[in-house]
Amino acid sequence: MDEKFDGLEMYCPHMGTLLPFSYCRQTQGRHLPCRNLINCWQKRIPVDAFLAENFIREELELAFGGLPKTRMERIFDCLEQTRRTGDRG
Amino acid sequence: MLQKKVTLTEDEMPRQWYNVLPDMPNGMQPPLHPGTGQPVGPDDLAPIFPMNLIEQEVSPQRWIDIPEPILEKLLFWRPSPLGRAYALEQFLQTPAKIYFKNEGVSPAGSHKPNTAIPQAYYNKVFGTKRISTETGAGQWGSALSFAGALFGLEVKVYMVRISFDQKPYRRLMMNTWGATCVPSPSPDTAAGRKMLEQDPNSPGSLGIAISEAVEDAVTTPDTKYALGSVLNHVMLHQTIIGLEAKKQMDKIGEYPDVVIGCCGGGSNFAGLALPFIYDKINGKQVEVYAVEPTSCPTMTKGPFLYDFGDTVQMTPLLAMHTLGHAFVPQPIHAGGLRYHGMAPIVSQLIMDKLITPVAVPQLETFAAGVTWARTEGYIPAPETDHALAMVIREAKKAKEEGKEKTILVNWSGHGLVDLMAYNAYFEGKLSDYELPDEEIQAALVALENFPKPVCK
Repeated sequence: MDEKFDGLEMYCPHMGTLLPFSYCRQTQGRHLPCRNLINCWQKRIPVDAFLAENFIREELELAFGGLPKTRMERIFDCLEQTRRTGDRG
Repeated sequence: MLQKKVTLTEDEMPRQWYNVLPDMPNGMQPPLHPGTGQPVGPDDLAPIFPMNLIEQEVSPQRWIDIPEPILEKLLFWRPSPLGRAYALEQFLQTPAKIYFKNEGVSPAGSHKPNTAIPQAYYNKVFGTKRISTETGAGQWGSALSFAGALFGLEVKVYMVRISFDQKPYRRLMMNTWGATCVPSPSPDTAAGRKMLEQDPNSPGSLGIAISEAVEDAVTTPDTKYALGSVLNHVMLHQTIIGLEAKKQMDKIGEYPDVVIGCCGGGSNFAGLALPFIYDKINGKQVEVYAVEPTSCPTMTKGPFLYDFGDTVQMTPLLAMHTLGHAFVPQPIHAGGLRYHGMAPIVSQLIMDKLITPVAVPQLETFAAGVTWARTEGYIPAPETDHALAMVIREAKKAKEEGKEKTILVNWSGHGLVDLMAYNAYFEGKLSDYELPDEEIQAALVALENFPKPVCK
């Protein structure tokens, strides 16, 4: 993984705090970049080249594919996951 | 002497919240359950929220009484003052009159306790003993901790680990109010343990923290989950801001031409704006701006849909040309109410053209916050800076047009726990970074082996 931009910082409007690029490039599970990475960083670094060099197509599809989930959809996903885990337990 | 503040007596504090749902011109599309595809009903929400709050979530009543025990707690800092920003007006040499509703005076330093306290109360009445929640930087977590302390509820906060490590003062506020705040991912839940198995040093994310808080609520007896944004009842509780502001402006014979609020999940914006939108629906002329960051333009551009499903094995992600622009695929508005992370009420009112969304870039927001601090004294929270940037734009526009204009803004919170963000701004760490040409060329070389864009 290319680490040359890792020290750059951005105020993250979602988290409400300063975050380094090293966080943004791996914030989704399985070390995938944040869905907002392109928008947040495109004016500061060559983010397209960074993604192309450091991720394969399948990873980019996982990170950026489809529509973002609403908060309630995420909550229902979590509920469903908890229910399934309970069923197995 | 000029009147700097407009205050209300405790007797004048509103006794009812305003529910916009019955007044919305096109109603609300019911949220769909992702599992069943059917509209979400009370039974779907019951595992995580108490039924009295679920009833509020779908209430068709325009005015909802605020229970006395809630009023007693809100009186700790409410009614909040309405200030007039004379010094900023003078600095900008604007004919505009700028009023700000100061929500930074609450014990937690923001508007968030306006809903944390009702949520704690309704949970208490319902029989809940314990509330779980997640927090990013800690603003919501600290507000709920404060409210839990007032009603004798145990509060467990899952705080995204990177913030937990970087923002000790927020978690210490939670601890001081008696809450348990743990870094997420934590070993306390199955979701957290799974993440820690994959990566013991995981910095966490909001998604993981939500999973942990929801799992905690579902699997722990007498526990419910609480959310500080997005939901209808959260917007409802926040309307006390705008209802007070209307009374205060009325006291001095004023009415705003422009209402401005920053908009992340929508709660502080809606809190100020909805009572004025009620007037707008009924024919009043008032412009209402919801301000968001250009880096997360959910309202101004809609959700980004990256369609990888093409047949020529060519990802649109690589169908890009010159570095620094033309990289992001054109955003697509997808089926109406899909503004990621935004309150559905706010999304619908944008569709109904009762709210105008605006995006401002990061540097402009911090510049506005610093200008505010150096004229009006109070140091705003970075999210509040977004609204202030729009205030300054409007004030300058009034000057250019030579128009007297009355601006009302929600000063949603102070930034005393966010000074590291200001420090990064002062040190130039947040500056837009112009790429040297050689770096652009080097990056382009890296793309040479990728398929070339195909025009369909």
